[in-house]
Amino acid sequence: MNQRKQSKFSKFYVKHIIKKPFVFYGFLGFGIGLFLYLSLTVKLDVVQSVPAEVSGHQITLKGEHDLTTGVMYLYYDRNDRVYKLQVVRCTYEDGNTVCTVEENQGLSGKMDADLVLGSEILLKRIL
Amino acid sequence: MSMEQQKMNYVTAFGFLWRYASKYKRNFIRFYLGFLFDTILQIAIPIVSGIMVDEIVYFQNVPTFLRLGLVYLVMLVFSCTLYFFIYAQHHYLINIFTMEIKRDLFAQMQKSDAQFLTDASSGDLVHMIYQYGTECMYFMVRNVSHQLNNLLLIAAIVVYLFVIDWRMGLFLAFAAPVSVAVSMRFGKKVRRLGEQEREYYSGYMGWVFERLSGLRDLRMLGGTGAD
Repeated sequence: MNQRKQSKFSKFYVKHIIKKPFVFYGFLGFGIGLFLYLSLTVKLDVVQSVPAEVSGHQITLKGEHDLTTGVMYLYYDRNDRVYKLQVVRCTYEDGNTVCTVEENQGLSGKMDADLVLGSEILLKRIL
Repeated sequence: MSMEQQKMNYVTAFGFLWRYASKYKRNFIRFYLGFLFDTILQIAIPIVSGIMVDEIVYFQNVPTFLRLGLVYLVMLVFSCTLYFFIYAQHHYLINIFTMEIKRDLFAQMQKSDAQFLTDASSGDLVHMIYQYGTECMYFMVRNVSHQLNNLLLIAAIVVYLFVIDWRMGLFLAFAAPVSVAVSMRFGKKVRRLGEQEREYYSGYMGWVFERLSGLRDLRMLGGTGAD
């Protein structure tokens, strides 16, 4: 009885998993499709690093930048700590961008800023 | 007729094996495609994990991190399940594909002249039938499928590093052939040791077979006496 069951299973396994291509290609197609769907729908921020000068609630960024979101990341050393700040408004002065932030978390002096300039899909980032 | 030994290079060895492999080319294609997609995942998974680290450590962007985590999970599950299908093909091929080689080898041995059969030890012959067929499958796996995918992997990583920093790309473009040269040099030693192992093992097998054969003869003689 057990042997007959085993034999039935082996026949099914050899026929559908090994000899017939549908299960294999179906699985491959499903996996690729799912990966493509997820990597096309997941959007990531496009970030640009620029030098910044922090003075109170005002942050002066080198060059003119168009911030698409109200978020800015500031750091002295990227591997030490990155500060996430909410930007209230930005203006352009003498070829630089001056942004006002809600709370500067006690930061001051020369830092580096990561600016969110747009978004891109995950697939583009991988490729 | 003696068992002729002919040294083959990569192309002639592949040409010889293709006579057997062509009957199962669909299984070999599926086997190769499985490993090809696994290679693509090997490239994509570290990139996604790197982006995940950026998102959570630097940008504290939890929603994006979780979405990337889902992609990462899907890729891992896909990779693991893919191995099931790859090895289903592998085990089928290692049984069916090598069986034909072993059968032909056995048929060839039966045609061999008495001198060859007298000179060769039983262990060597058994080892040849059993091991040579399996080695042919390993050739198709390692030297064809893995080698092709590894070349693609190296090319993809070199291009990727060139995009990040051309010096790193250039370094890898030089380091990869150097690493191959070093492996080939040490590979010779490994092959020589492999040959030695085969020699010792076949000698040992021959000794076991002869002892068993002697024991059987003694039992048969004892049995005849009892009658």
